[in-house]
Amino acid sequence: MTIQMIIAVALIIVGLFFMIASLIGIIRLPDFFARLHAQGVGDTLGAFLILAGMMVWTGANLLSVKILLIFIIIVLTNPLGTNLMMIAAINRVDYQGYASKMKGEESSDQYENKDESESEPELAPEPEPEPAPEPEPEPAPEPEPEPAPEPESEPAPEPEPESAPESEPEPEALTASEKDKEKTSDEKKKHDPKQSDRGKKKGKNGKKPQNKKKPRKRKPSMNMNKAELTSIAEGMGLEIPEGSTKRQILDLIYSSKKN
Amino acid sequence: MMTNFWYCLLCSLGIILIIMLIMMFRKKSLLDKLNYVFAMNTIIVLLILVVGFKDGREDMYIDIALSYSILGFVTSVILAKYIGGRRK
Repeated sequence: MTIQMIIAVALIIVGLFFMIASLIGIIRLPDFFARLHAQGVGDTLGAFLILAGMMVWTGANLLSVKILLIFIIIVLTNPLGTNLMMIAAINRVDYQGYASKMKGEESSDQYENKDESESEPELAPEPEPEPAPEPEPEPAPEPEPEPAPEPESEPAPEPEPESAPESEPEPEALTASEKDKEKTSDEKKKHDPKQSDRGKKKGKNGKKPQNKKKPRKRKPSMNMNKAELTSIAEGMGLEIPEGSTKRQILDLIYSSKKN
Repeated sequence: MMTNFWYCLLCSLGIILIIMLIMMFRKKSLLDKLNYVFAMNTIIVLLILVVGFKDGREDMYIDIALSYSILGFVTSVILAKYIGGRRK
């Protein structure tokens, strides 16, 4: 029982303590990222201490050089693997329910929902899908990226942020076109390319998508403003009633294309 | 005396490994399972080393642990890349 052995045993016992702490953290912590943190930090430190104890045990040898090599590999690769898992988690679901917060729904942590919804099956089917053309009237948590000022000639009954390149003043029904533009901007949010990509990935993995997705595909004609749509509909020989909104013109055009 | 110490270390690491295996099968999320697999990799490397020290033949077991740590890292990286996709 030399002093070398005592140091080695002390190092190994401290390393074992950190391993057990990492195990408790990986089981008990509530969030996935917290569990990832517990695994990355605790496992690296525990392996570091146990391997240092083994190096002290063997003494200055070729064996201690090999243990040092294992130690270098573990210390390099353990945080790297943790980082890769974090990137995978962020790319796979929306990070802390951020995308669903943008849509105005109540924020839900995807991981907790996944665990709970697979354990109890009555949460698994989606509740009633919200009707697509009526967006939630509550304000978006972030302002629009380019809030353009209202055109000066028109009286604005309700000042809404309006995307700049689409703003062509329509003298008859400005308020209706504004509402339509608000709808289109909301649809743009719902059709974020990341979300659709995520939905594709989930479909490839055989899981149903967590986000509520609209069934209707977005067509390029929805990006036009009302004057262009009116000219297109008149070119197709359609009757447009006075004061109709953009949504009604679009429905007229699509129904006439189906027939 | 010291073989008893290595036996105790072997038993405690084995218990940690078995608990992690059970929890890996009980978790529902795929990324949690990946997390447990990556934690088990480190513990298995340490377990191989401890087995070698217990038998007094650590010169043989150290090489196995070295190759296992590299292989486990490569497996975890490939699985994480496959699940998560490429960085946007």
